[in-house]
Amino acid sequence: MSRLRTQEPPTAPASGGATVRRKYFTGRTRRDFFVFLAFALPNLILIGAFTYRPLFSNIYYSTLNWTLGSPSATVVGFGNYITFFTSPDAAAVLGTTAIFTAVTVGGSMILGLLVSLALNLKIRGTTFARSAVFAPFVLSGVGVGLVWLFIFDPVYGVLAWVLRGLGQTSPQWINDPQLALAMVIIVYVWKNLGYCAVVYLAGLQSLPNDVMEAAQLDGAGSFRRFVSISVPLLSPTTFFLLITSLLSSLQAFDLIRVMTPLGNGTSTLIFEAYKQAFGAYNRAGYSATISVILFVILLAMTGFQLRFVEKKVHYA
Amino acid sequence: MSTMTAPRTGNAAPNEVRKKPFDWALARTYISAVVIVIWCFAPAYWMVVTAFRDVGYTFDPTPFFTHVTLDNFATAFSTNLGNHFARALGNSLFIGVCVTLIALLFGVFAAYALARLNFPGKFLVLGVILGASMFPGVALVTPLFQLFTNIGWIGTYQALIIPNISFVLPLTVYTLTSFFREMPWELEEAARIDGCTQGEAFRKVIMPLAAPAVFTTAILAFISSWNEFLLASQLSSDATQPVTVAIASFAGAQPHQEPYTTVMAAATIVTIPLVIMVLIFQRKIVAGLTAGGVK
Repeated sequence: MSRLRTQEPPTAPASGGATVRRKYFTGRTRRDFFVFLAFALPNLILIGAFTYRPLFSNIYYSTLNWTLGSPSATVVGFGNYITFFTSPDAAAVLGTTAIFTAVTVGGSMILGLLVSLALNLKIRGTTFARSAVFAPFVLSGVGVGLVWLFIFDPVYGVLAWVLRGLGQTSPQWINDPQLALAMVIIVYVWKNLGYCAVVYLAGLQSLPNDVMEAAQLDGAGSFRRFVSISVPLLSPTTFFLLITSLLSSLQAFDLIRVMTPLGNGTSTLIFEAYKQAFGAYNRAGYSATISVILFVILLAMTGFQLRFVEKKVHYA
Repeated sequence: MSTMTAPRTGNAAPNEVRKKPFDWALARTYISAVVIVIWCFAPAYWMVVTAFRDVGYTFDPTPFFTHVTLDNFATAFSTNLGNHFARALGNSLFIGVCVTLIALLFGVFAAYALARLNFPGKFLVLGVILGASMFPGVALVTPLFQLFTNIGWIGTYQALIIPNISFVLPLTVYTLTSFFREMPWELEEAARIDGCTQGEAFRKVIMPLAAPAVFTTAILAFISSWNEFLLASQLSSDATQPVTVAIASFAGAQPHQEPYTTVMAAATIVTIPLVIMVLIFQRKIVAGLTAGGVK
């Protein structure tokens, strides 16, 4: 939401106090306000009814001991939260979420940056390569998951065949909890890498050429220029990617659901919440608790972004 | 190749590599670029190869098109096995088009107001709209399920369309607002001086100029709706289920022997249109996704 911060129009009202506002809120401003209401109200009503209202209902559900579809529920207050944080599930779920998020975000950003360097070359075929790299990002997680599941099949998959060629037996990707997590991470990085690469590419292409040339004249090699100039100058892009990737990794669902339907080793917060409500457990209240915890984490990250990122990283 | 002089990195000047007899740096770059493209495209390639391969050779690892057949597509579309792939495709298309059109209609007005008008509390409103994009889907699916159960909407199209509109609206409003801020609005003033009303100026001058931005946003909204899975998996019925839900249950039909070739054929049909869209509109899509975010 804060991405707009960089683009406040010059005409935006001063962030002055109420007295200033009262003075402004006349004539044209007042007319604008009503036009705005007419234009934006449909949005606000829809978003209010189908996003905000469910979110608040969900917070209420998190205080219930309730089965989905059941007419009766008992209020347990913070009972579900206490259950979650005192059960061994908490450590497992939060740990899985932390590993999945850290590795997917770190992996796709680092690889994305390296790929963007290759895409930034003035060689033949980069336009096609850019599209090829970017395509997985927009594909449906379900379709991608199914294809990779076939590739990872421990007996018949292409990967098993390649490993046999190297004299190895394929590990049991799906049955082994740690390997299942690794598998999901690999696929998620594959899918997300292209997004990081094209965003980094946009950043690279907007770097000032004169700085680069000056450094080159001073005798800095290409690696030195990359580390000392490109990386620091790309920090706004890096933060943008860090936040957007964190938010999307924490909400990664389709791939995990399709590749590991039982969540054996891959139960991140979002998937655990889903399993609790719609899996075998049918604990809708408990599921709501977990999704509220996820929401609080997302909220904290957005708040962090609003509070710090825009101040820390700016070169303009 | 050895005599080619191309920069080693995008920002390097070409003069330092010219003398060498064989340009290892360039060769290395080409090789790494090719490896990257193969890594990104290999799964999609394998999907297509398998989709066109005779079911008897499902597990044949030959990396080329062998035993080519269209039977898998016929099986995917066949309703004998209880799959309704064609219907699901139609549902996805219908839902996607409705979501895109309505979200754009609402989004264009809101974005115009946010980009052009001036009033106190504007950024609060923007924050409220954009904040919605942060809510995890799993936190909304239970309450929506309950709500739609109460009003008898489970399994209807509106239960899939309306929440999806509210999910893509933040993206739509955000992208359009970013684009609208960079448009040459002096032209609107000019049109008004020439005697247009504000509505006319918007319709005749601004809309044509905004068309590319609106088109890009439409692509993003459609992709987002086409790929939606979590909500649809709980709120749809057999008759209204979109294609993501349909192919996910394709896979689960036989737990011991996955119908791989059929699934790959179905996945091909679901993903290839998007791949083609990316190959054509990649620049626009990226511009939309990063609008305002990277300067």
